[in-house]
Amino acid sequence: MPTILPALLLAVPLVAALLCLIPAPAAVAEGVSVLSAPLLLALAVAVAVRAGWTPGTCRSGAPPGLCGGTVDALGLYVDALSALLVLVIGLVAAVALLYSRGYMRAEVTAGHLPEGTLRWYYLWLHLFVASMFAAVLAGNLGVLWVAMEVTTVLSGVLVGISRRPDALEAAWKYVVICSLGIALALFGTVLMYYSATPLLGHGNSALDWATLLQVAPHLNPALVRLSFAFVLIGFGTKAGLAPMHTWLPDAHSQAPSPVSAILSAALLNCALYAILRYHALTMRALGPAFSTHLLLAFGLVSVAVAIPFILIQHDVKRLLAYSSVEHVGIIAAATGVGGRLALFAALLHLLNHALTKCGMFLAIGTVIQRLRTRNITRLGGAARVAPTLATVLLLGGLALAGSPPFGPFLSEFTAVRAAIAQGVGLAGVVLLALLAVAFGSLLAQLGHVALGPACHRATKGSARARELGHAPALLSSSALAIPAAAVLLLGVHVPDTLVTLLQRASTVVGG
Amino acid sequence: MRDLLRSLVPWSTTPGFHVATAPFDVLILALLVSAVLIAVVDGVDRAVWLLVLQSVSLAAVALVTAISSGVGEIYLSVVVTLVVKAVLVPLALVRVVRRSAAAGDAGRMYLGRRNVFILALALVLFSYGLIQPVAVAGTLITGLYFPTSVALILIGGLTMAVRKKALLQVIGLIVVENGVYTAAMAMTQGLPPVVELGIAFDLLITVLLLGSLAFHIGAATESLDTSTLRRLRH
Repeated sequence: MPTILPALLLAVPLVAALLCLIPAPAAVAEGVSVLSAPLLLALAVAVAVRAGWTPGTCRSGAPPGLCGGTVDALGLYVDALSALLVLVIGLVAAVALLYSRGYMRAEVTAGHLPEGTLRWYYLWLHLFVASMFAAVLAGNLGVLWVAMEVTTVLSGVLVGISRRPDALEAAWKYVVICSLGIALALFGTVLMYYSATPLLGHGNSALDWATLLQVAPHLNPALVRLSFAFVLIGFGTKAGLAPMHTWLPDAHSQAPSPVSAILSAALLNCALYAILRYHALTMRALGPAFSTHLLLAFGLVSVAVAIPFILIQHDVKRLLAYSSVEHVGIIAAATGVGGRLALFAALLHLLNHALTKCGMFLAIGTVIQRLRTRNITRLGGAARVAPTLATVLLLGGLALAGSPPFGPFLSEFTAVRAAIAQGVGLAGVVLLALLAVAFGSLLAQLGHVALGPACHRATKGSARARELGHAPALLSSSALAIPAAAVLLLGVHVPDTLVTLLQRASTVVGG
Repeated sequence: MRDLLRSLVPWSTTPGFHVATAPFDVLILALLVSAVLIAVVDGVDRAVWLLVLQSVSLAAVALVTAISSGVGEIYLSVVVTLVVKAVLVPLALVRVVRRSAAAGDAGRMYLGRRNVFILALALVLFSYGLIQPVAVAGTLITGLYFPTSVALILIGGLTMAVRKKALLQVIGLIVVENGVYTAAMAMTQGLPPVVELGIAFDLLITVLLLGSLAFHIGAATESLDTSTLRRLRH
């Protein structure tokens, strides 16, 4: 039974964006964001709980991937997979919106941003969130493509909003490379449409995912193969899969930290989501071999490519950006392993990485603001001047590196276990070895920031030390508690509703 | 090679080409020539005019498809292509050129002009000589449009790779998009109207953003030359 929830997920950020248009002091736009954030979070959780709670109805004869899928009057399609993504986007967007208030105020105070820009920042941010919701709720693959390109443009504006030369350069590189990538994804979309028109005729139904999944076994296999290859390269560019990831460290490190958090924790996953939808169609049309092998290869390469850059990195935000390449690689590789357990691990890791990376980008953002440097060698010894922030960083670093008892450990471990159980033991061993190296690299770097020898500059002036220890705006810092608590909880116990949601989402992908 | 020669002769008929009419072949020629010239031409203004030529040819391809297939929805596509790709996008590009001080040096490339020209021709050969037989084997893809669209995508990519000037990279991106549109028109008579409108809207806002970024980068570095963008490494 369709509900009004998906439509509200689009309406709330759009209305909030309209309110930001009112020429009023920035405080109005901030107030709108503080109101819209909990609303978005509640709606997203409601959609996710609904998809994980209600008994999934399956029509007899329909492929299992269609179980529990509902479409509303606007053409918004909700099943367990889109509900999972809605949950991820809602969580990340709410936390980032709440955090933005303190963070962006400090940017204005520091003179990095004119105060007049704040209103526009919140306007673009809300539109960006709406476009991500549109992407994961679109039942039509053409609309999915349109929404993904809109996310590129809106996030491109946000990356360059400070108009510093570095930020402009990063935004340029980001929009040009991702637009090129996504043009190839459009080619893949056209090929999928072409493969379906003999069966479904011209019109929207030949791009409708649920309809396509039903007729998938009858689609022209050569065209589906070509389509998936283009879609993987195209949306893979946006997902940050190596070797198409070159724009990612720039864009994710030059954006304001709340935007970095959304880019790394939500937008990459939207692109992965698009790949998963095509992966489901391709598997049903061609059998699992073709697309799983491609995903496994791209995934492992991404993990391997990211590690040396994590090791040699001096810029702490670029470090986190490369870690995103690594984790997207893990998710792609786990999807490529195939089978229910591996898909479950991939989707759980998607959620775990999103929560961890979101928290880390925000915490790092505050550290950078207070120490006025992002150079890792100069950030050393944060523990002496700001014990709380340093603790958050160290625990977040442990979680990101894949250490127990945090969520990412559980999903990475499950992925490796699934690989061995699935008979792709070699891939499992390679992944395990890469994860071990990544663990060491990341911890060496972040450990230095938290525990290393105190940096000369930070400890010299006591005023600076006081500044660092100074409590950040209450609202901003308490927003960090949401991802932190969730990452810890997911490492110890995954709630039953979430398990059901993830199981159903893996059925959507894997049939 | 024979395929290439045959395709460049307007009155040739290719077996399996479902709408084998002379105007189509002239239009294919216009698409390819404009793409190759965009890759090598000196001056943003000229590249914009070539882009207008290409977009009008594209609209004409859609018009011929609309007439020959009798599907009314395709006329919408013709109008959208003309308005967005032949008028609004070129206007936006020209506006950035006029506003920015550093308009000279548009010809600067990472490779020599002759090399780029040879590469572009090689990509056309590759598309016709290699892609067509590969694609035809075992699929429904036939005719000249598929190789033409692949050639446009590749030449657009080449333009983006070798051009130093920001706006010419944007034009390269639009050539890629035109290639995809050609494929869509040839294979499936375009996409559903809602999706086509969305794609055109996306292209417009992408060009507006890139134009604005190019302008601000130009203001910050006093050139629209992306080879000066070397700050972000590793």
